[in-house]
Amino acid sequence: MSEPTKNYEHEVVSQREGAVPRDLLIYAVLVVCTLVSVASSYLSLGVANGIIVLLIASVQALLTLWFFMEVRSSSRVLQLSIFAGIFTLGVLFVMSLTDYLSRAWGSW
Amino acid sequence: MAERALPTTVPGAASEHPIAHEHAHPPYLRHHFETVAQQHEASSMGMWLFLLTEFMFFGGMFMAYLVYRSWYYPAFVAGSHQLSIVRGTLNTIILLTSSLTMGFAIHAARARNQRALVRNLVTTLLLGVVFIGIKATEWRTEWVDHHVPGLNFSIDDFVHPAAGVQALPLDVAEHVQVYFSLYFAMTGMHLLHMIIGLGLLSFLVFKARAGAYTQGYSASVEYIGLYWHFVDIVWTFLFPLLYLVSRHA
Repeated sequence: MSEPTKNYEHEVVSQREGAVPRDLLIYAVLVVCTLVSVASSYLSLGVANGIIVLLIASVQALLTLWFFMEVRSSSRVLQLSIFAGIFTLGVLFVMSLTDYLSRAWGSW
Repeated sequence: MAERALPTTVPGAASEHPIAHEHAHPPYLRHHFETVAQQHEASSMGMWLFLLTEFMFFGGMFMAYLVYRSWYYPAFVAGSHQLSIVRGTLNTIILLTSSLTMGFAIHAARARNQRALVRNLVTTLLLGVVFIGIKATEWRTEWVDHHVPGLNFSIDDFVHPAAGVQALPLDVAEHVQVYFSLYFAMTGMHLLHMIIGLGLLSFLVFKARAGAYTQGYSASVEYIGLYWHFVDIVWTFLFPLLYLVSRHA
């Protein structure tokens, strides 16, 4: 975990170590996830179809955030800010969907 | 009220901060930061706050999509099946690859490798152009097939479909317009962000060729990289939601 007072040069060197093989591995996982997602949409799984593809997309987004966008090596305050923003977005989704899906909106 | 005393020094004058320029610092360190690490941390926070507003912006469109999809699901299935799964999958892999090369560009800048930096930035840029090209062919297909709401939408394909495809009732066929409205709004806004990203990448290539970012401070490449990865994440959700709606049906 890096802190704001840490030496910039040291931080840069530590981020470079093993970065290319790690990125290639993450890339391979992301491509496989895409292909699995496409394959799953051809299976008749009812409501689970939509849930599975969204879960896979969430895993891909988390991998991109954590590794490619280097949230893993960001400072605590930055990690907390990012988490707070995404959590707030999640709250807005859950509360809005709870309202829309539990009432007769759209039933005309 | 007591009369305020007039200032005895002119703001900004050298005499106001007599020790301000006594210490040496690298040219990329701005005056209002004490260390490069502090500057990097502050500007990273600024970039992330911007990206979080972008998450919120796209969040509104995703919310609208989810609500309408839950209301008009059969229409969304019919609309989704009009899209080319091959071109959509190919574009997803192209964008993932561009994220990889963007990451390589950041590593090259940190390693002070100018040639690798320029090469990876140009590769990322070219992959972005290919993505937009494929997207353009998809939009052209939608235009030719009369699937553009408000301009040339026709329900014929859905009410009188080809042999072997189930016909939709008239009201459901009309709702396919909602799917295509959201499709064009969401992919269009994503495309706008891609075009802005290509402009930023072009700027980086221009500056990198002149020797910038490989002198010990590569933050600009990192921040534009963050933006590019964000655009990739948006597509990561757009692809399954728009293209992969019950393909088995």
